[in-house]
Amino acid sequence: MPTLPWPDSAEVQSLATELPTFPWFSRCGQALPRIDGVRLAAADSARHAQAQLTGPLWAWVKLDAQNAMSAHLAQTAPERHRLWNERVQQDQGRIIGPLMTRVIDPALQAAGLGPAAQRQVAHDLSLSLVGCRMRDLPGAPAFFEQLLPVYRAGHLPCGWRGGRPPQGELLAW
Amino acid sequence: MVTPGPSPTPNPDSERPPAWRRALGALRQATRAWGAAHWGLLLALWLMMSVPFLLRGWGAWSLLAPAGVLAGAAIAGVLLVKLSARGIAPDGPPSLLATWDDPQLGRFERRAGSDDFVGRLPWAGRPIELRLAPGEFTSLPELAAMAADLARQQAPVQAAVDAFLVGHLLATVNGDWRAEGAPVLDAAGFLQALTLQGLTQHGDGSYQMLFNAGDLLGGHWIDLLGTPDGGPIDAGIVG
Repeated sequence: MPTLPWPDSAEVQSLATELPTFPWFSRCGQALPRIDGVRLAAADSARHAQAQLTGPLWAWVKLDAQNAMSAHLAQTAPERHRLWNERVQQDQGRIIGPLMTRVIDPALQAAGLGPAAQRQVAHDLSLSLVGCRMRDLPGAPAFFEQLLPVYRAGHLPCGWRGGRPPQGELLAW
Repeated sequence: MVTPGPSPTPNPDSERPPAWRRALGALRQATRAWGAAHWGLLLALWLMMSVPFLLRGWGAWSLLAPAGVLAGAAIAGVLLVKLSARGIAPDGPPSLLATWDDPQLGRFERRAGSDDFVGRLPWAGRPIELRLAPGEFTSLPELAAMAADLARQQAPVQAAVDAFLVGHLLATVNGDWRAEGAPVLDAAGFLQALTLQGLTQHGDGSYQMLFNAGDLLGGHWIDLLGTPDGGPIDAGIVG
């Protein structure tokens, strides 16, 4: 695979190594941990979590966050912005695809979470990796990176409540 | 009345005789009034159906072959009738319902080609279209309860929606979208030009409101997304 002129930072490489070791979804339904910098609230049940996960509100919150990332990258590093699609495709083939097959899909199945959750997780990870690659850019949005500690704690980020971000809080199961 | 979910009455299927016995009974009932002409016609048909098998060299078996054909046609017919009846069965699963009645909000009808159900909701003194979008994880009664809750708080909800629309879109309406010679609108004039056409209740608790903006946006409409706890989140120009 050709090397892109937007190489992996040490942080991205470390994250790619760490992702398979997360206790994926093993603590869904249990009390949420305190995570610095993230306002967290618990979903009421697995069904509630999945209703949030598939609803238009969470889709809008994530689309808005993705647009903010894309706009920031276009303004501050247009040469990287042009590589967005290739970078995401490479990550999907190299990191996310194998991770989904070997680790996340079985964990989702064990937690009783369906295809809707699978799509969300793949999307979140993809944009978290892009976010990691933008950390050197001052003022870069970090919405998707905030989801990583929730996944790392064995929970599923599933929705938003309490107003338009940055107001409100992240729902997790 | 069509109701979703399991029936509160015992399942009558559990007390019914097996399918083969019911089929035989139905056959007896259907042929009870048959005369010689009917039986003669059936015999003629039977023999005609045997001919192709006879020509293929089935010999005496040709006389039995039509029984297989008729049995196949009967099974296919029964299956077709059963499947089409499920769509209107009172106790069918919600995905197959054509209408659904809510004790508070009245009758909802399935929107063609989707799982959404459409009814009416009184809002600001007039009925608007209410669409329930159940999705995979929320039932119609849960959605109707959410919509009824929203309707009960309609004064503060509408006030928050009005403030959001003014803050989010009034400058756009008076800017890029203002027709030549058209007056600059104030907040009251802008809101007066909008007509709420419908509300969609989603399973995550969020709602969408669709506003007809008349000529303000070149014939486009306004789509607003809001939540009961956080108020309006976004409003976009659509259509």
